[in-house]
Amino acid sequence: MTVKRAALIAIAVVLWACLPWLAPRYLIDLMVFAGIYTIAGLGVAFLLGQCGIVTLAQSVFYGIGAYSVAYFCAQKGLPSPVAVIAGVALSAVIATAVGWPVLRLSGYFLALATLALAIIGHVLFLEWDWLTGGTLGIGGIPHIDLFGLVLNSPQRYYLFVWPIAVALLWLHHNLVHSRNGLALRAMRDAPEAALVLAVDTHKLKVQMFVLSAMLGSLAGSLFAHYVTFVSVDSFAIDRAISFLLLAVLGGVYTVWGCVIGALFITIMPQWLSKLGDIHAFVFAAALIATVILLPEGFGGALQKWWRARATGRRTQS
Amino acid sequence: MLRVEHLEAGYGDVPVLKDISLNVAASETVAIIGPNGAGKSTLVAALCGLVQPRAGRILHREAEVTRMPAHQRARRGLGVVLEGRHLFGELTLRQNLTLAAAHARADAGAKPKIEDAIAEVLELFPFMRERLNDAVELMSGGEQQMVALARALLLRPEVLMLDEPSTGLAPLVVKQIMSTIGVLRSRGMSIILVEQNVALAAEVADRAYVLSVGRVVHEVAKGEWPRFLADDSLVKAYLGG
Repeated sequence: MTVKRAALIAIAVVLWACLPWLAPRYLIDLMVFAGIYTIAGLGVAFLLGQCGIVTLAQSVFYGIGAYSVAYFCAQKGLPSPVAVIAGVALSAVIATAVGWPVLRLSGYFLALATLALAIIGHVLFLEWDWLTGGTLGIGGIPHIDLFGLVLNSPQRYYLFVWPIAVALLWLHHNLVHSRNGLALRAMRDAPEAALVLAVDTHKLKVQMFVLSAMLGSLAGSLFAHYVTFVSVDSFAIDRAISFLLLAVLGGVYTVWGCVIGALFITIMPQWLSKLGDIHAFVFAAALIATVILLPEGFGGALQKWWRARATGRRTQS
Repeated sequence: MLRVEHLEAGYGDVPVLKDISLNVAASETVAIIGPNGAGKSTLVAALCGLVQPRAGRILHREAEVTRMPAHQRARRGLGVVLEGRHLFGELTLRQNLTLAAAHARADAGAKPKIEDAIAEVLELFPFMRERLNDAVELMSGGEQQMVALARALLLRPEVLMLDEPSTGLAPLVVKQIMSTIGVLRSRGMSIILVEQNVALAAEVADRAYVLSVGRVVHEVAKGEWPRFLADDSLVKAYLGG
């Protein structure tokens, strides 16, 4: 690592750590949601960017993680790690059971199948009110208690969530650049060639779908602990679409893209709300413009710019 | 080594292969020749598992593999270089080779280390030594064909299928590829060579099956190449030359 790069990272870390004392509370609150959405969106971006799979089912796993915390912590009084692990494990089992047959489909058919899963999940969250509280939801979810430090403010939760998100991004980066990552890219770019090179593409797809579901569940658990109340409205189709949107906007081929995507979909609507009733229209126009002008997303555009700059410098020297 | 009995296969409702029977012995090179649309590439796809047969049997070392998925056939030792190369263009040459070496067949004695396996293949294709960090999509057509061949070899196949390896390549490159096939043949690998260029096939193959409209219409037995090539009526009748 160059000195300049290390210095840039150090400055970013200091800025990040100081932000809770510098920025208004509402902005830190939005940053917490951006961190949670980064984790859920990472799963979606990973599937789309590395496996070529469009998933709209992430809201289901997000809901499972949240309801797991609500049920086990608020209703059964169990500690948070038990609830989080239960949610992640249940999501992994469901993702395996559903993914095994569904991931034999491809393209639009696969996207529609995951949409159907999101719809079924939402209906079940609504109908199984004995478990989920239905439209009334479940309240009284305890804040996370971190060795005696209760994470009951946006500032504290911000400092808790973002290191988790960054650690997961780093793991994702390592996975993409591992031997399994090579197999994923091979499967995405030339599936028949990957098969005849002895890559079990179906198994690989299912494994990655499960991984994505586990990320969705973890994000849902973090969401439930933060807002301390969950209801079915938080896990509808629009949530699934927003996860896909953040992945596409951020750029699915770069690891850090979904951070930018999450910040965009969390903070931009709030800023635009100052414009009054027209803000939804302006936000929609901004989305369309972004997709048209930056087809590789913000992350892809930034990466391209960075590489062009580096190439230019090399040419000059 | 590989035996096909009454194989039928196609795409959707369209039948392509009809009642195909053939066999390839150990260390033998067999050519599949025929005009465009004869079903040669479909036969390769059926043999490597990319197309599921509707009827008939495929046996590898006397074990039935007819319904076995493509990746399992590759692990058993049925290697293939598909027509059109199907390379992972965004990946570097080293990454392409590493991916193949990581999935090498394990049941043929001790599996060499990935670096050793790549070094072994680089002996066959010395030009690759200087290009290991280049993206494969930036290579010429001939180089890409050799990358596809090197990748298939890294799986350590018992039977190597080559689907039209000379298509669209300069004569010098074709010569290099045929010379590599000759080396593999001398090492005792069983090879199925799908080729439209009959003269080229005759240079390296022991025998040949002539395909026409999805059927085996003629078999060129060992030692019969000169008579087959000399007989214009046979060549014209089967290959439309």
